[in-house]
Amino acid sequence: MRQTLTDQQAMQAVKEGSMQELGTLYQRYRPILFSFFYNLYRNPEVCDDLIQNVFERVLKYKSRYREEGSFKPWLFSIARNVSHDYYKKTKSRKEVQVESWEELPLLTVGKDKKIEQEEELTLLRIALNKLDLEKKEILIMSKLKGLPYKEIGESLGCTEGAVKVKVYRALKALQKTYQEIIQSA
Amino acid sequence: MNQQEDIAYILSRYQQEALTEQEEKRLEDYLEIGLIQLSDLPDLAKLDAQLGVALQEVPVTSRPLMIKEAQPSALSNFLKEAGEKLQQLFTPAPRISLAYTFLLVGFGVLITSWYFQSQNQQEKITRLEGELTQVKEMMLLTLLDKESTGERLKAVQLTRDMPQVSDQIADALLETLKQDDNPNVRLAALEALYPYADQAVVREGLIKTISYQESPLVQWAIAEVMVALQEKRSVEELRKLLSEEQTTDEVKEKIKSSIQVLM
Repeated sequence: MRQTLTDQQAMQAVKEGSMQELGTLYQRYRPILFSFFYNLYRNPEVCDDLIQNVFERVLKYKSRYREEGSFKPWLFSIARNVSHDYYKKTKSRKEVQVESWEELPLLTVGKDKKIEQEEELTLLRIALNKLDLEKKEILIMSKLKGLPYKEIGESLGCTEGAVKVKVYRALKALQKTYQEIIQSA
Repeated sequence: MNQQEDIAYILSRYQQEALTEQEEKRLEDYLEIGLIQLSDLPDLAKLDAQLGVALQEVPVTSRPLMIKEAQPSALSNFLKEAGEKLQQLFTPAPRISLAYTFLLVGFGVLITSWYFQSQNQQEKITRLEGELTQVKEMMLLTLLDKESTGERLKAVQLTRDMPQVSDQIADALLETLKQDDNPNVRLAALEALYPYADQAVVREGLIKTISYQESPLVQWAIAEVMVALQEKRSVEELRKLLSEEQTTDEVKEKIKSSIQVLM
């Protein structure tokens, strides 16, 4: 039975020309990347395209991957660049599908608890979408399963402690925006 | 005030929503070094937990990696596999039983033989085929303009079984090969154009698209196409790609060997 390669081993194989191991890494990381891009852009087709772009760049820049480094942070630094390029290209075309102010649910007292919770979550997603891209990204990355603060820091080029401060600032901004939305709902 | 007292002071100022700018900075410093945690800030901790729930809902989709899973070798193998992958993605083969297949074939034979019994019927078929081609061409041009990658890929596949392409369609596919945002759509356009390379407008157009390629896959594929077509006029354009700093080492080696074959 073929032994499962670690990320570093698979990436080394990719550097030596193995496209099959690129496929292995794709299968392994597609779910977390999909989650990342979906929570940013809310469009499954765009997410698939962006993931393809990420792996094209993994292939293109494979020589820059250092074996002693962890693969996941490197992958996420590429994913963020792909996201930024997409955002720059599309913000004028307003292609990014976001839940809009027009979709704000009417918050009324006495509603079923479950419905109320759903509405709060919708408002929270709307508030998240209103943040600048950097804050949105850090909050989304902080909630991705399997991406600890230390690795977020490595992909951003900062310390784990600095990530904690970024998350704090982003949460403060989210809280402020969320409260503004609640007041106008 | 010692550090512990200061932390308690900062947290109580936070609860009162009365932090000054300097106090906020101290709070952030404590967060950074781990002496204050998010859990010490209950309102943000609650928001963080809610956010975790809000971001959990992610649809399930699947798409294979559209990069050939082996080193490309002969053009026909490369394009054949790419074409098969695209075909699997968008036109999944129906599960038809063997008996049903024979039934369809038999039915087709009966229909065909009935049609070919008279010359009038033959003319009708020719006209219908012409109309079908026109409809396909219109659909192709419409779909090529769509935002959706899936629709643009479907557009490119519509050329399948067309004996030749009009100049308008050739231009549209060449433009796609030059400008499409998605390298997979470009690859599909290249595959679609290849069978029509005996048409001058297609062949010359293919050469002109070389220097527009940035994706290593498309660069590789187009070098292979030029070798397959034995198109010496492409050497100049291939040399331009070779001189680009962004062209990967593997593609450069491929282009060098392609130029050697062509010269």
